[in-house]
Amino acid sequence: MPRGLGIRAKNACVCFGDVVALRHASLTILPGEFISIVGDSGGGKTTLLRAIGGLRALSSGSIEFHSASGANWIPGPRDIGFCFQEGRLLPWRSVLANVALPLELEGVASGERLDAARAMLERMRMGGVERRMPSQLSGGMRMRVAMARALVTRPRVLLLDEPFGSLDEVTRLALEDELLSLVRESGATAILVTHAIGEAVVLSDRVAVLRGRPGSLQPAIPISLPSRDDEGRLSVEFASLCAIVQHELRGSQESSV
Amino acid sequence: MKRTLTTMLPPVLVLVALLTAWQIGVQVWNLPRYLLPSPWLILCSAWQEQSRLLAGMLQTAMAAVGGFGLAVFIGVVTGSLLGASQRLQKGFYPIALLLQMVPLVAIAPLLVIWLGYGLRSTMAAACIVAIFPVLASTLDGMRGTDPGLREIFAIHHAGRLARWWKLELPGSLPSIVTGCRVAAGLAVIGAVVGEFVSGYAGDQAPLGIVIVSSMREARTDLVFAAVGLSACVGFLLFGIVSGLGWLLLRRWHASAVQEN
Ligand SMILES: Nc1ncnc2c1ncn2[C@@H]1O[C@H](COP(=O)(O)OP(=O)(O)OP(=O)(O)O)[C@@H](O)[C@H]1O
Ligand SMILES: [Mg+2]
Repeated sequence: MPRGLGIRAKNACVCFGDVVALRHASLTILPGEFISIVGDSGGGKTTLLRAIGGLRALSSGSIEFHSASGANWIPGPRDIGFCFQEGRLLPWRSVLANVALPLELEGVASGERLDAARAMLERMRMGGVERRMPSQLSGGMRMRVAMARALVTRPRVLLLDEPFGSLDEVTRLALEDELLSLVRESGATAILVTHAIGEAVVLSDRVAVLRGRPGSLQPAIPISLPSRDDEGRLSVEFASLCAIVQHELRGSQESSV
Repeated sequence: MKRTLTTMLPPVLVLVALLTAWQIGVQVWNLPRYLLPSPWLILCSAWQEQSRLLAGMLQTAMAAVGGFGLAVFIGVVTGSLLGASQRLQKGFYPIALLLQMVPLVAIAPLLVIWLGYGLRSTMAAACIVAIFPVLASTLDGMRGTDPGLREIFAIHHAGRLARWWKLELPGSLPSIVTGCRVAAGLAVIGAVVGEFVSGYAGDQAPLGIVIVSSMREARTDLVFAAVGLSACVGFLLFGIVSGLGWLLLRRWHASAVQEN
């Protein structure tokens, strides 16, 4: 049984004053499932992740968690890992101390948490820069540190907001593989927001399109590929699934114009 | 090294030019020494009275440093408390603003009544004038905490204290350091003004008392010397605070990080 939590969002709405940021989003995610969300800029993808992470109260509707055995679950301090679109590193902490922060807040002993942080940075291909300050990193490096921080507690739910946006193609492919194996190892449930359709297809069990602005969440498209690597990317299934997602997205543009 | 030289040299040159003009002016117009003593005379008198002046300087420095330290502690703590609670802030901040308008010279007699003559009163006077900039800058820093970073702490269910110690306080440091630099100068002013009223006379008399008693004896040269020394105390304290601030911020803040 996967460690990941199942998530049930029912008619979730979020408003900022008069602005409707998220409109009647309903989505059921199985424990350990990998779901990607693609959609228009400003459609409410970040808002949906923040609502799932408990950072933003819903205006109406509900979001509930349950374990693989079906029992209701209230996420604890280590259960959710959130990699924000802007990185959000503490500028006064070194890379290593930033990654260790979630464990530090949990009261994990210094040696142990630094080891965990170091190992996670290594997996993010960020071994050599532990002692640098965030201001000394490139945008892509910062995102990788943020990702390491989101992963360091081995969360049951992983929320990733466009983590690969500012990476070069080679690093991006390497990190996609790394992410996939990390998620599989830990059995976490993952929700990835991305603009890259190919990335969404190759990584996910299902892809959901958030259509329009404010977005309305379309029924998620199930993805089945022969394999989730370079070979998978070359398969016929990959190409046709990308086309299906693209079609769904384009439909969203037509309806919003 | 070369950098310090090029920044130090112009003001030093200007200072030397001003002192020379002053010296020449006093001699040319033959001004009486009780009205305006020449820099050289001031220097000579200061040398003669050095033990008294240095003892006074030490007293004033203790009052200023003690008062400053107290002000930083109280200012950061109350600033943090006010920053943590909207309600406290609404109730207390306007009062703090009003209190700040009360002139120190007017409070100094009260301090004497409560704390007696001597160091305790002058320290309190220094503290009172130095608190506000620290408090205001702490509060400013707390309120300016990046809401995005707050969410990082919220995701991991960080407690109030952890959030303050690991997020709000370090985030406020640049602002607090600026407040402390202002407070350092004010603390010395507060100490000297406090000494006018509550200083303790005798051979341990602080600079404020040296100034007042020299004035009564028409020893304008000593007044100048004591004023000059209190300025030195202020300058030193400011320098130390700036240095400490730089040390605290040098690794990450734009005001202290140097490109290399
Ligand atoms: N804190 C906020 N206050 C007011 N409005 C907000 C806030 N956060 C988001 N919004 C609004 O909610 C809507 C959805 O924003 P959101 O950030 O969720 O979009 P997104 O899908 O993540 O876009 P992008 O792909 O550009 O990141 C936008 O119209 C935005 O202006
Ligand atoms: Mg977004």
